[in-house]
Amino acid sequence: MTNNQMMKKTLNAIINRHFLSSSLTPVFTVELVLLALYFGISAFITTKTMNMLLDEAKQNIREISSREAQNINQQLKEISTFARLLQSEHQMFFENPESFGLPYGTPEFSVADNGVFYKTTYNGGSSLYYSSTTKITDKEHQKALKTEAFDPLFKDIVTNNPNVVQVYINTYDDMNRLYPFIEDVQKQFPASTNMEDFNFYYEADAKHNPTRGVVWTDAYLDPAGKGWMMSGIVPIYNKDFLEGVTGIDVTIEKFVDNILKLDLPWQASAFLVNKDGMILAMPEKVEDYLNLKELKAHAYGDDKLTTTIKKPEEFNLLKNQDEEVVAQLQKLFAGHADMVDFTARGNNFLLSQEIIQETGWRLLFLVDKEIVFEPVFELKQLARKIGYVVIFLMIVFYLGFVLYLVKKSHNLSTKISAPIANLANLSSEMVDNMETIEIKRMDSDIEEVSQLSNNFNTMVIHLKQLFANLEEARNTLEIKVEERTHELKEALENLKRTQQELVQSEKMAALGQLVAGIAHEINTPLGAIRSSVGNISKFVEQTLGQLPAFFDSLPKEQKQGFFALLQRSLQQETLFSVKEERKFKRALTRQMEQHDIKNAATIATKLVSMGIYDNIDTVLPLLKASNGADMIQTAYKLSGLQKSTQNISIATDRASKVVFALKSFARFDTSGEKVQATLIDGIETVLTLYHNQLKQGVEIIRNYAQLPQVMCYPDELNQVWTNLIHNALQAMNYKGTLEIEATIEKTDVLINITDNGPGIPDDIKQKIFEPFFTTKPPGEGSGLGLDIVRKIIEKHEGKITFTSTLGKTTFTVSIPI
Amino acid sequence: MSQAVILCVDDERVILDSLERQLEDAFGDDYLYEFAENAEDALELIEELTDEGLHIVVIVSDWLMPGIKGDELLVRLHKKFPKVVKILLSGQADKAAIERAKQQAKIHRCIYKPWSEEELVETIRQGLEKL
Repeated sequence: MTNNQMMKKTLNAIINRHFLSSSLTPVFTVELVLLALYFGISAFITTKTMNMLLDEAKQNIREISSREAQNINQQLKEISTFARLLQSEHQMFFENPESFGLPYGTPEFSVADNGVFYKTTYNGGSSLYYSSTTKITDKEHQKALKTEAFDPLFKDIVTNNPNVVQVYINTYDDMNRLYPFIEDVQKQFPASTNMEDFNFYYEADAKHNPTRGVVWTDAYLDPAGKGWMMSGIVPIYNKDFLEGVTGIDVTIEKFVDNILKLDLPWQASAFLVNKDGMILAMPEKVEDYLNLKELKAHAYGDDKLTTTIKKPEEFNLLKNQDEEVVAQLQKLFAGHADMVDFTARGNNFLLSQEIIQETGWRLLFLVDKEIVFEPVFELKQLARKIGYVVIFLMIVFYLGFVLYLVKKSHNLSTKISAPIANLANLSSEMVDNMETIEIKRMDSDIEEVSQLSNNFNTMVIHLKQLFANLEEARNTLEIKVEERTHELKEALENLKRTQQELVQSEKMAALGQLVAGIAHEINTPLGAIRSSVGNISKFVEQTLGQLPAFFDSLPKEQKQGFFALLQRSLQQETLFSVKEERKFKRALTRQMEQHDIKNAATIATKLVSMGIYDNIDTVLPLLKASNGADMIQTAYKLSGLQKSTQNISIATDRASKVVFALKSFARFDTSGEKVQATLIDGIETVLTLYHNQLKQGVEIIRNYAQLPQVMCYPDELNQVWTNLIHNALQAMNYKGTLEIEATIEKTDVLINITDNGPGIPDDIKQKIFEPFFTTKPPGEGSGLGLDIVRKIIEKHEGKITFTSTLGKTTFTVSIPI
Repeated sequence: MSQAVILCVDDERVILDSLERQLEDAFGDDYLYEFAENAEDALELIEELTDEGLHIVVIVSDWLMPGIKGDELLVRLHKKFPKVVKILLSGQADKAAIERAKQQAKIHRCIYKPWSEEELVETIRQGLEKL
């Protein structure tokens, strides 16, 4: 089971790792990319949209601005037109007052308590009063009366124009005709009113208005009680005399109501300033932005207005508290831009300006960019929210995906590993018990695994069959093997015996080769013995009997000399070679010839034979004697006797040695047990047997160290020495040097046999130990020699090696002690 | 008067000793007896003897000797001194060698070791008579 678990773990880990990393990573990357793209695109679109909206707003506002400006301009123009109309009418009037009638009948005039001459009742027209300061004469009265003619026109203008609240005329003599009718007009204004003090009069005069055109006033507080006004006034000249000023009043409120309360897109605000920056009309919102409150309403106090009360300086934009605002506005007014970005109190605006040509006023539109962008911001928020939702969803998806993958990979690994693990287990089982193994089907939808499983099962079936076959075969085989073993044992026994016989026959063959030599080795001592025995028997037969007579016949003086000679000869030792002896012989011969001794050469031979090589001074007297020759002969014979016995002894020894060597060589020891033996004895035995071959011209050099006895098979080792020495001699062709060295090295005895023959050629060095390999012609050697030698050495747990060069070949045998 | 020499050649000292006694016994002082231990020495000796004015009448030689074998020696000797009684006295002689000695050296006889004294002496006498 551990196999299964281990594999599962490993496979699982592998698959998981790869699976997950290879799928999660790209997914994750893709998600990130998508998110980035989303937000990026979103931001891009937002920005684009914002710009678009801004552009649209700008365009729109421009359109509106120009439209409205046009509108205002138009309306103002209208009023200006009316003013000019009034101007021309009045001018006509003053030129020809009679031409004008009384449209509403005769008005009733009265003088008030405060001295004001005024029209008392409303007749559908305008109100009238004269300042108390004016003396009312007929002229004035007539003027008051006649100017009634303008009432319809005044009424028309006021009624038909929504912007117009009042129309009036003020004269130099402080007459005021005003439509709409003011009830109790005498009480409205200060009793003494000097028209020339008021801006709505003096701004049109010759000084301020030399062109005599329509003048628009700044905003002022209407003395007539209608609140903050602005008037379009025209001077009325009677030739070059300023009769008065006609004006059309437009309340700021009206403007605000009619013009400024436009339903503008983006909650834009429009406001009006005059060419100096004085605010003419401004909605509350803009007031908030610029941190000021429009004085639209003025609570008329009890104080009557005596001078123009204009709007305070606060209400000049260019004199605003906020420096930033001022700077921007100055720039705007100075330049020709019709749309700029404007910042006030931290808010960003679009500010558009349109100049109303009629009055030089500026119609300004203020659009809070935020409002423009509002939809965008909303969208942006929405997009961001969506984005967050998407992120959340993606995370959820991702987690879900991870879980899914984990599950999937687990399934996959199980799918793969289960059958494989099963196979692994099965194969392990198989190792233990082939017979009892059962095949389990383990289907998998992985082709390779399925294939493997099937093949494995097939293999198991086959193996089982094979196993069964094998068992059967084995049983049969065992029986057969037993039979064969028995046969082989017998054969082996035979072979061993044969081998032994072969070794023996090799021995015999070697021996056979030596027979002639050995025969000679025995014959030689035999020959020596025979001849010596012959010599002795001859002596006994011939010389012995004569001895007593000889000794008797010896004169006293010769006896000593003779016995001295005899003694000398009997003590002889043969030290010299034949060649050397010859030299002595010749020297003696000459010496004796000098002494005139007869047969000097013969005598010299005998003397030398007796071991007398020189110093014959003591002998000379004997030689010179008459029986000298006899004496020498007798001495010679006696010495010869000794020599003969010695020879017999030597020869016997030699013969025995050879026989012994032969015996030990030919021995066929079947005991099969090792014995303690002296290796050198064996070597010497062989050398003895080969003596005859050796004496032909082989010098033996022996180098024996003190060797301990060795447990060995001595007879078999003799075979070894024989073969090696034989090979060496043959190699040297029985002429040369044979060196035998015996040493101890650690735990082995080393025997080196060296010859100075031509050596073993390199190409056959490998083969010499092969059985039946020989360099001799057929019939002249079995070729088994070295093979047998090697086997014998192996039997001794020893080693045989050789080195060979021209002139030196050494075989080294090492035997463990 | 040049004395006749009987030359014995053998690498075994004991053989030479034996031969000396046997020959002395048989021929006494009639001949001078000279000995060599190998063929080279023998040839040298023959030169010396010739210089000294001695002549060889009999040569008894072994066959198996170190260096030049007996048959070769006798063949050489025969070339120089055809009138010498040549006897091959050998323990083991190659058949071919004996044949050669007989053919080319005209040996009188080949005697095998161990030899009997009588045989040897008789052979020599016979050889000498032939001369």
